[in-house]
Amino acid sequence: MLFNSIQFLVFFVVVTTAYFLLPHRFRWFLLLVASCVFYAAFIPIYLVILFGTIIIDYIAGIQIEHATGARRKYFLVLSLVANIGVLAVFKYYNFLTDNVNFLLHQLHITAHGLAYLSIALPIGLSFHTFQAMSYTIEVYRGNVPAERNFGIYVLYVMFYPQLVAGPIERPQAILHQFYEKKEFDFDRVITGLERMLWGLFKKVVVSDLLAIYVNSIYNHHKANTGFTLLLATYAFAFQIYCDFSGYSDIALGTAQVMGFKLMENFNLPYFSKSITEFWRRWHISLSSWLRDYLYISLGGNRKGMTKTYRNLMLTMLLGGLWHGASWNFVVWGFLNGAYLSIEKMLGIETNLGAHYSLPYKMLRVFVTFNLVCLTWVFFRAASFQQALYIVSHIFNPVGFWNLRIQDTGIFASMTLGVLLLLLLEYAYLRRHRIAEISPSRNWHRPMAFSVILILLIVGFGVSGGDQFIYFQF
Amino acid sequence: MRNFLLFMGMLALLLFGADFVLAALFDKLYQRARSGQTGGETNRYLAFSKLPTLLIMGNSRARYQVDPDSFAVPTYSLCHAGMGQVFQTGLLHLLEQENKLPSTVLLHVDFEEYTGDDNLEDIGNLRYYYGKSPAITTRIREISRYEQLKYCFRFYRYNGRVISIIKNFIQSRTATPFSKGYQALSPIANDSTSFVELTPPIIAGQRARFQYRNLRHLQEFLAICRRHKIKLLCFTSPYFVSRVSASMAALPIDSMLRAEHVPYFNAAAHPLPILQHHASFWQDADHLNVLGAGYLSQQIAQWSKPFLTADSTVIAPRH
Repeated sequence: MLFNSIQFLVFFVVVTTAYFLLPHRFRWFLLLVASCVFYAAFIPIYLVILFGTIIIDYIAGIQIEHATGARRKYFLVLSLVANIGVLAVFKYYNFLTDNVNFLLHQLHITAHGLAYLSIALPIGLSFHTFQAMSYTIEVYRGNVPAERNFGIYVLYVMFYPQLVAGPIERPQAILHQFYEKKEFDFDRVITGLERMLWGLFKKVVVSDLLAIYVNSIYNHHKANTGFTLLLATYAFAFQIYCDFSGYSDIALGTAQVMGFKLMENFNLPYFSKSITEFWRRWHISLSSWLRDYLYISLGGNRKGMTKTYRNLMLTMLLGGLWHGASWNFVVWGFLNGAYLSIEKMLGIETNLGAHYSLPYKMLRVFVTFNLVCLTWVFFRAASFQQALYIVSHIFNPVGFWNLRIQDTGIFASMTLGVLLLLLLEYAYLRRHRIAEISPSRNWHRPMAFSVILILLIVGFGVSGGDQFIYFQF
Repeated sequence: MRNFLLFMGMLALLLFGADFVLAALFDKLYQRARSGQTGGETNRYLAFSKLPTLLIMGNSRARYQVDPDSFAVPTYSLCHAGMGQVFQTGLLHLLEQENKLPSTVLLHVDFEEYTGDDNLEDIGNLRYYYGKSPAITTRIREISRYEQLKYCFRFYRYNGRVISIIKNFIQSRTATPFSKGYQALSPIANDSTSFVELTPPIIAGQRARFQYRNLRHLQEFLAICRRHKIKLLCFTSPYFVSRVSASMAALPIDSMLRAEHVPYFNAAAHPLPILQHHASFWQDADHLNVLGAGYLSQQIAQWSKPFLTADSTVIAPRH
């Protein structure tokens, strides 16, 4: 079930009410059952696959802790192979088959090629796979003891607020929380609900409205030129931000209501002044996962400049592939890796202090935003050819200013949505976190915040909007 | 917990108060709008003291392509771009309820609706009438199991139309509405180049299936016409490039309308050669600009002339 559905609202109210009514010792079981119900609402049979890898990882974690020497590594590799294997089959098999068949065809080796698998991608596969791998790696590194309670371990992988699209949690951050008794706290619950509302606003008001415009342009890209394509790309930048950060806000708010603290996943990424800074603010749980388990494992920046660039490129290429089995995502990853490498090469300052002027900082923000938007073209385009067409036509001065707006009402609504987003996020929430719109001081601000958001959702929210973009990963 | 319940109670009160005020404000704006496809044009028609003889209904392929001035009788176009048959039927229910039914209706039937999912969402464009029109209310509730929960907020009736309604209200005071409801598409420089790109490719082996269950909205439309002895004529506009949906849907629709004794003109199967040979008459693969619309309007007008001047009702009563 989607976070922006009435089914989820009913589910959330029932589960949260039952959670606070139940004695603490039964709460983990309630959450586990609720998480299974939540996941089964998508494609029930995939619970079997999920449980398969959970059992392997649970056993591997305990064995890693018990074993010594090479056996420890054996169980770690077993766990990683199981997780990556599932990912490879469900996500990358058809992509690999496509490319192998293309090569076979080009080399005239065979007319038929390899067969494709017709299976749907389990929802959230990439997320819970990475979270599971994080567990066995941390146990191997000795940073966290193996979880002995099978139910708690299952809950660690399947905790419903972050099951299908993150944030990708670390075991040391969350496992202990399932043992802690959570009391009903008025402030915490209200600010958690406010966070959920804020996420819902970003998804159904801003992101889904932008999607209407973006889809109308990108799905008919050859009928559009220059500025229209550029505007649609900017719109997509905000669409994907609001879609994903909105989901994260709902996930964090849902968890917070019940007393759980999940990691922040976004920190105003489009106000970054460099690509390095951008990747510290965008999808923080994934970028830190890639840094800690891939980049650093490859040697990080400790083995000379050449290997640093190699490690950066490899990390971002694999990060691109994580998003999707398509050359578009590989190019997206390649561009980001190239940006990071060039910044390192040129020694571009990533932490701009107070001695830099505001116009300079604004210029850096503008340049960084546009560099990121260039990569979004490959992320959004349906094919590599389409992405190249769009990029080439954005930079084509012929007919550049020919702006196409099919529905002025929708265009005006989405512009209003983006302005409200910038106003609230940059002007207010940058300094005052949602936690500060707390009823502990007075009730006026949380009341006003909630009423305004709900009315905006009722008035502008897209009904029956798109699934969250990151659900497909 | 006590504070929480008190807070939520106060929040609910504030919300419903604000909802009531906003809904009342937008009710006034909506009722006074006389332009725009989110209700203004319907309001304009409902305000007519003298109804046209012929009312054209349909989606953009009627709105932009059929000029009411081409017909020999007083004609008005109440077409809405992007709206499927469920909307047209809902609109006819509304005209029935308001006693504003014309004597003759020229309905555009679009094939695409019958080769895909039954798109009920279009009835949402009439959500102002939720709770005011039983037929529209019933159809809206069919959209989803939880749809009626959304209408606990009266302001939800203006969902997605807030800015349009404000714009339409202002435009009603300042701008001149489209003459007889017809909106001509002015030719633009890249008309002849863009349509080729917008034509969806006909994929070899593509298997579209005719969805018979989607006919229920059209059948309901026929039932209203029959009930009030309205002459109903149907037509389908041409495409620049033939569609799989056209070849798939033409025969069942033709058969059904024939069985109901409803005259039907399939311009997609009988396109004028001049339209097929002049790409500059098309804005895209589905829509003629004003240059091409003139020819199609004449074609439809000539075809409909004998029916418009006949005395008897066109739809034979059911036995």
